[in-house]
Amino acid sequence: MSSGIYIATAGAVAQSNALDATANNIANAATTGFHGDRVTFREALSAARSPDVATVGAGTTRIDGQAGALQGTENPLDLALEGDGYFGVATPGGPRYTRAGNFQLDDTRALVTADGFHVRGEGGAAITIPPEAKVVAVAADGTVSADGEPVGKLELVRFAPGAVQRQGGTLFAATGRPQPGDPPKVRSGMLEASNVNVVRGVVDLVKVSRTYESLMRVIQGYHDIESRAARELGTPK
Amino acid sequence: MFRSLATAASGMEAQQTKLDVTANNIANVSTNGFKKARAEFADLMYQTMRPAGAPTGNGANAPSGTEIGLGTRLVTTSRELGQGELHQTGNPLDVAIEGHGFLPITLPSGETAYTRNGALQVNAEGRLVTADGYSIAGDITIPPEAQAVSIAADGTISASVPGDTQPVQLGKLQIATFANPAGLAAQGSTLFRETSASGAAVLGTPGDGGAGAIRQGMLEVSNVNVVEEMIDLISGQRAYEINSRVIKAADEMLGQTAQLR
Repeated sequence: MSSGIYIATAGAVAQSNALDATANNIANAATTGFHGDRVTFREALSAARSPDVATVGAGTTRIDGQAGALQGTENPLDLALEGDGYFGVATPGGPRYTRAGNFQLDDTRALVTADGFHVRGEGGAAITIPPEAKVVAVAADGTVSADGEPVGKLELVRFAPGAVQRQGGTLFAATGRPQPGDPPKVRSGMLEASNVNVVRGVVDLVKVSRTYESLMRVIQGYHDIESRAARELGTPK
Repeated sequence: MFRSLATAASGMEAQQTKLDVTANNIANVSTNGFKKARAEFADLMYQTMRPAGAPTGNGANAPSGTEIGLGTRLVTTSRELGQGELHQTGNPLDVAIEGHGFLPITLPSGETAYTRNGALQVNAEGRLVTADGYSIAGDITIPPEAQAVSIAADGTISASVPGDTQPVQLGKLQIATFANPAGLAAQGSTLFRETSASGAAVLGTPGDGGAGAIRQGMLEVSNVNVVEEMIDLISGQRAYEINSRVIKAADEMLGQTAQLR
């Protein structure tokens, strides 16, 4: 058997992974604080078999670090981050990090995410707004104040690009230590929209499906060659 | 089969929900005391095919992993409780709440509901009721001979009665505030019900503490902004369309695979 058919198959598998990643990006085009994935491919040498033959790996996804557009909402508890970094969130599984700042108050007037997890203040404590507070404001450095009195400061952290792992629910788990450097600035009354560019999504979609189609032609070609070989060479004269 | 089929389906479902929420907001653009809702989404779980930092051989580690997302889900339809514009009506029984809080209403079942629609009226028994006929908590009655009803910022209702030189106090409106008003359950007819997420209602004097003040002769209109809703409508419809393209692309790719042989 020719090894070309396996190379084309590896390519098709890689393209189907790329399609899945593109589908997830497009499905999350309306998810607050969502950062899309970019798929990159890497050749995998199969030098053991032949130095000339290389195949493609299944693809690597890299989180697109570009910030999404900021949309004004006029709600003081809608927070967006300007610059690299995340809000800290306390979940039953430990601290998690998010860029989705669509926060609310729960029945104890603690600041929570849309999924109901407490937003971490500095040191990990929850931030609670006193019941008599009329005006809640969040400053650019993350200080939350009620009627002008500071009641807590949001935990704002930065990580190296590869040091976070996706958890779903626009949450990330840290796989490394927070990085020093200027924390991101908080913009109150705004939300960071999904950074997915649907135009690029559609272009990716066309590219992926056409590449896949070509690879299917390659597989079909090998199939034709081999069936012809079996037919012509296998027939005794 | 491709994960993308289910992923794109979750995206279409999400956009459909967004459209439903937007449609309800637009339908209630002229409903007094209406608070618009906003659909919030989050991404689903990720299938980690190779974690970041996994060894790639030769002592090197992968700087980024392979994580394929599986779509989106609706997290909440959060209610935006921002103040709607106050419109002057001149009707002495129209009241608007300027600030936080709700008017408590007694439903015929005896339960209490809360509203910000202050278009009040007097029913056949002289009782102060909402436009739907539910009485305002506290059973405030306005006698038929009462003239020049005035409602103060602190909720005190008074009227001048023939034969009395001093205005007579008829009752007092109260304002209910909640720890988490976004957690209230919408009942329709601009009524809300207390839930465990909202916390218990705290009754207070209008204008005191966190409670809003009463403005007589005014109504709070819907806080829906039509331009914003139209933009949501357009973006939702297009996102739906593009998600359906993903399904089409996945279908074509599967078709090509099926034709191999």
